[in-house]
Amino acid sequence: MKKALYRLTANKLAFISGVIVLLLVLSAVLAPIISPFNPLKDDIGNRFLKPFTSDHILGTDEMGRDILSRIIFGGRVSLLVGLESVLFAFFAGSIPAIFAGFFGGKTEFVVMRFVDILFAIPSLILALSIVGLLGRSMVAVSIAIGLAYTPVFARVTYSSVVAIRNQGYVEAARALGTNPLKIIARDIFPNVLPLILVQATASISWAILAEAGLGFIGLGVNPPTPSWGLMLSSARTYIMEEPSMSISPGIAILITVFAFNLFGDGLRDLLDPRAWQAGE
Amino acid sequence: MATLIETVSLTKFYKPSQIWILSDLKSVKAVDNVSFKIEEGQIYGLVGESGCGKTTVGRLILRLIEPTAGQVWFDGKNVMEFKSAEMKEYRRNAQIIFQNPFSSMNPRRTIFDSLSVGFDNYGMGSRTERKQWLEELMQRVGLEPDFLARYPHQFSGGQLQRIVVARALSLKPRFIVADEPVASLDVSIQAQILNLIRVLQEEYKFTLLFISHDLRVIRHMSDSVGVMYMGSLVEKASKDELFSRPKHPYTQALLDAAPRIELKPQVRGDLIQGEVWDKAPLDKGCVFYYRCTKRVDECMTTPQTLQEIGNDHQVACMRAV
Amino acid sequence: MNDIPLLEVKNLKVYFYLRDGVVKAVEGASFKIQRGEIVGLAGESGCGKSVTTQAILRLVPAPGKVEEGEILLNGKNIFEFSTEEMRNIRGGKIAIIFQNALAALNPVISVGEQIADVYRDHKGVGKKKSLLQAVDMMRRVGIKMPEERAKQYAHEFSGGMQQRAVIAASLMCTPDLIIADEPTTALDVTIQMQILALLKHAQETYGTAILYISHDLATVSRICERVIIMYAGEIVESARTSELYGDPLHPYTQGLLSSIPTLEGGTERYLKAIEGQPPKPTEYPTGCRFAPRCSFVEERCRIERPRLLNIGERMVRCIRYEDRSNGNFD
Repeated sequence: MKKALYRLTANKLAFISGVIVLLLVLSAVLAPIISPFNPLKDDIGNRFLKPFTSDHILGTDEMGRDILSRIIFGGRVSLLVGLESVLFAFFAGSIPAIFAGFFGGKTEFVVMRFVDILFAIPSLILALSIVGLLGRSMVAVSIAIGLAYTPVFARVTYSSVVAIRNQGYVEAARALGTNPLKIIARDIFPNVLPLILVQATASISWAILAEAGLGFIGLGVNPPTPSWGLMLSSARTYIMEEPSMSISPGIAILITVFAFNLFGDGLRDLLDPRAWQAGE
Repeated sequence: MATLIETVSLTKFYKPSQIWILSDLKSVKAVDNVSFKIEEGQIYGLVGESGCGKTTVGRLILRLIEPTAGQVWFDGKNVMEFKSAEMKEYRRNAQIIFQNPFSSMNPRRTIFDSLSVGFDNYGMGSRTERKQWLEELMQRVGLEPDFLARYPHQFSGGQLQRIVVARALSLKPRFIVADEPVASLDVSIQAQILNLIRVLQEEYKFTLLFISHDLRVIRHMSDSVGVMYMGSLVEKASKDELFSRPKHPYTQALLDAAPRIELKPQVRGDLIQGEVWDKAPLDKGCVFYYRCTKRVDECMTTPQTLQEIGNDHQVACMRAV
Repeated sequence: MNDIPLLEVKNLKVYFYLRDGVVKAVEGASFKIQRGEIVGLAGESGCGKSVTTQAILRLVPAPGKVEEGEILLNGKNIFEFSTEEMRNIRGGKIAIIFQNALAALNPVISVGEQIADVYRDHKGVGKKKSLLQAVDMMRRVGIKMPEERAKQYAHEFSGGMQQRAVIAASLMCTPDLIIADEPTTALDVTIQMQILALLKHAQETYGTAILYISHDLATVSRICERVIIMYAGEIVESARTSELYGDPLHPYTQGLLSSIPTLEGGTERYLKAIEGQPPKPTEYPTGCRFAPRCSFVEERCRIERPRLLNIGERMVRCIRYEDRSNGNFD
């Protein structure tokens, strides 16, 4: 563990982005504590306050609500949706793909054809249907985005598993009498996990963007729950009078997406056994 | 000496994908009617070039691939009829060494973990006992015991191959298939590994199926030899007999082409023509027909089977009998 | 008679600057190749033979650098050539053939076109004419039905034919030198013979010199007139084929030759293997690089780096021959 941290610090990029990711997660968790104002509280008297001119550091929006607080709580939504959708895609996509890749035959046929069908449905239509069915909620958005990513996770995992399946050590495990589930757990999964993790971190950033996008077109979480997408959407109406309202959520999205992507890259390096030394 | 392994008409066909029903792709005969015996304690060499099926035969014997037809007999029992409990017991007794040491080990597990797989599967030994066994095993293969804590990428090819050998020995099997165990190694290391296998075979007394494309290595290691070409066994004999009196045209061509030190540059190669891929194999007729320099018309229409020509020497060629 | 050697490598040093340290891949290699000569460069992985050929074509990849040395092509130092001149030489005067022929061929362009392209790039000839030349060359290298084959793609060729196609491409501009880097290693033994015969034929027909790189000492002996042995970045021995194999001088050469199993003679149960392993490039020992594995090692060997000694026409890097030598090479 100590050595893992050491290597993380050695890779500057991974370290810095890792710290940022940590800060983002912390701010999401501690939102109620660190948020200076109540993000839902209207204050019509103090609408459109410019940033850095008052207590409201980033200004207020069209309802007088503190933008900074909304950003912080919006981050909660984004991160949660990002995490949930990726988890969904992992369980719905990667796990079946591991079995499909390892066993081949009928399992592979059924799983991968299903994935193909899912892939063929345009993601927007998919999102529309899910939200239509389940209503506007964080769960619905997570499932919608998760379903859209399931094929990607499935395919990436599948091809990786097929490559690993042909490696000598898998055959050796069979020759040594290991049962298939053990082989999957010990030889296949640990070697496919890094790829999935990298895919996951990249997907989290896309999921956050997707959530913002969905929120922007009105398919995201229900107002008044703050979400960066919603904030951008409402800010659009007032872009001539108060452009700063779009900038804050925009920058928040930018930083988050960037941090997750870079962290994913760094994570891949970290998990490369070539960097491991004896005794870990 | 008892026969430990016997293959009887072992066959493996690969069907092309069913999507292309309109094309006339025939099945690929990876292994076609291969029968031979390996005596207990013997080293049997299986030699042939790429695509001849020797690797597939090794896998079939261990039932890592299922045959299309034919059987494998281990110690008088039919391996093809083994159910899971018997298969598990068989696996304990039949192990494999691969060509490429780097893909033979899980890169994410320590050597100790990888070598303990057998112990795990058969519930053998406590952690301390295993550590002791493996430390001894590491020394037997010429490596330091504290290498157990390391990861595969920290080793050179030669060292890793020793570890692969150690893993094959961990369960003290009666039979080992060595599939091109030295082909990926540097020349100066090849000799070390061959010597290692020899030493261990004399000590542990396992039976060995040694698969290689290199006739020199086969000659050095084997007691008996089988020569394969495009899925079929074309000649079988004891090592001495095969190398002093090769009868099949392919064996002769292989010997002629085999790399040997020449004091004056000379390039030979008139005993064989064309390439393995040049033409689709004949339906009825000698598998070597298109490349044979000694063929006659009859060879094209008569399938060649192994015939005994005395001295425990069999050839699949009517012109050689 | 042209006395200037076709290629002369003088004291070549190629170092790789890695994060972990400096890898001295080639440490002072010197040799000559005469016009039309077939010379073998043999050694195991990591000995520096491939890097040497990269240096000859000035294609040493970063982070490698040619530290020192000259490479003279027909007497002119290639390190003084412009990029343009160097590009003309590659494929024109010096051609290279690699081990994996399939990797050298573009999968989406027909084989005939690729071979023709080499000719067009260097001679500036039109498409049709170069294609005809390509088909002709394919016939000469033994590809049957070359007109049809020329339209096919690389994956439709067998391994041996792919290598023939690569050789055809390399011969298009009748180069003075072909560098063949393990050209037969990936091929079946029965095909290897055909490729070797083809290379020999090229030498006889076009007068092309060949630098044959391999780890397989037996194949090298079959085609080369002279052999250079490399170990851990240095040339340790060089001699005519018959002399090297009949009377090897350097302990490494001796050890290597005795450890290869043979097809003739008696069979011992054990081979005479060389102990130990080749040193890691980042950890070359001081003194003789072979000392840790040498059965004749003396104290001096571990302290001073042995010089490359001349013995008649031969060269050996070993102190055991100091009294026999008639001068040093370096």
